[in-house]
Amino acid sequence: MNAATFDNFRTLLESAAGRTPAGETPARRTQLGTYAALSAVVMAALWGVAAGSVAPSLAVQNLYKVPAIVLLSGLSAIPAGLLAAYLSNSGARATDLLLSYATSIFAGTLVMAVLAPLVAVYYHTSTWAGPLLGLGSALLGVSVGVWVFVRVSLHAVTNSRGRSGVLFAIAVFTAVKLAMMLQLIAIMSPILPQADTFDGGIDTLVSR
Amino acid sequence: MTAALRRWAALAMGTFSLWHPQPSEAQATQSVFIDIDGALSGADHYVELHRDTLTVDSTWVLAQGILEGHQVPLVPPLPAGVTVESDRLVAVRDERREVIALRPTRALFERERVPIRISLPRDRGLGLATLPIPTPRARSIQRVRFGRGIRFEVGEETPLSVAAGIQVGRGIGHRARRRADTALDGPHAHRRVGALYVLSDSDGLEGRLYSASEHRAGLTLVAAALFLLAAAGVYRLYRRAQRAVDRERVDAYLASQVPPAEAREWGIATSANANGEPPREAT
Repeated sequence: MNAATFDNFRTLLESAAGRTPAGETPARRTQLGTYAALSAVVMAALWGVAAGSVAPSLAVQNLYKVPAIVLLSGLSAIPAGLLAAYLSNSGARATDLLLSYATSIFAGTLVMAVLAPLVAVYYHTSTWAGPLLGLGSALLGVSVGVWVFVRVSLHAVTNSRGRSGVLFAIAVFTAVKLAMMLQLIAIMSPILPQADTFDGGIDTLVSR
Repeated sequence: MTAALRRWAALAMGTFSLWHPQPSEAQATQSVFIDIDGALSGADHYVELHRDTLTVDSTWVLAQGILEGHQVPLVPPLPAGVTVESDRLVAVRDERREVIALRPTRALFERERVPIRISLPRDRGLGLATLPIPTPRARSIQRVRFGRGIRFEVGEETPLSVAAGIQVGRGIGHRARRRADTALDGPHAHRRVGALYVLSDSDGLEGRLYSASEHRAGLTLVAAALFLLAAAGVYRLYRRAQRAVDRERVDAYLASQVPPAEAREWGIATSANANGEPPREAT
């Protein structure tokens, strides 16, 4: 890890913790945003390997499946989210919103990555705790991501009207991302060694 | 025969049938089929693909009772190799082992719901050109739904119009469809998104059945290709942003080392402005 990479990682981590750096140029924000997306891809792959480690073929497939779900669902929500931010007159800059969004994905996948060793060990040693931890860590990652998104986005907005607009945009970003994620999981399944609720996408969540 | 007489006859035949149980699988007979035109309110067919079998869980809702011993002809016949399970109907096969009719084991009453399960081997089911649903020769609406393991592509010969999540065949109006839904699901029937509504037809519902998992496998490849493209795009954007940031830093460093007038002369960007705009190059 060279100095620039470490600097980007540290800046994103501080941003996720609520200490948003001020006075960043658009180029810098773009750099941080894209770095966050690329880091998320790597961290998602790490979690995917851990979750599928019981079956070697599944672990190898998860190297691209989980990152693909994270990246494609993330990218798919951007047009709708930005449109919502614009129409709600939030006043937030697109690059700020995108950086917050990328930071949230970074934070969510970071949570999954740090839990990956635990997921792998439990999958190998427990028949009931492994699946629970596998699914639980993914849900925790999503929850932390949403929480960080709200916190980082609201940090940059001061007036109440802008605040409600940003919250609306966050809701749209999150809803579209989760909706896309659900169907991508259905397309890419199996991801976890055991069958789970999300394997069949929306069809399994809605009763026959 | 009036409806009241039919009901009494059906009741009498049903009572009689208690003493004379029918065999589970009947052979084809030379009897003339009764035309049960108008005897069916509607039918629901739920098609699902399993590991080794294709199943169709059908429910007929009868508009009129059917006497025991009468055969209900199917249009088109179900292919050879299907297994028919029902506690109220038995299969009648021809010499080619196709199921050409179903025969009640007891009298069936008006508004009775008759469950039927059709199953056949997976490969055989996927190779059929016509959907293997038990369709009686009666003018009635057939509602077909598909499980998450299977997809059905309707043949070009079958004109269907798409209406907010459902596909409706020619000759089925909105009210008729609602009536069929009510007959099948009760007064609180809701819209069955994804369902097909067709009138029973002697040619059957033509189309192609295919496995959803095989379809998903194709989509996985598309998603993987999209992912690679997206990742490459994000990486390229990152490299460009990194170069821009490096330039800004160099400019900022040089600007701090030389006086502003000289910086402008050398074309060095002075600094980012208060709005966070990119440094503009001095002319």
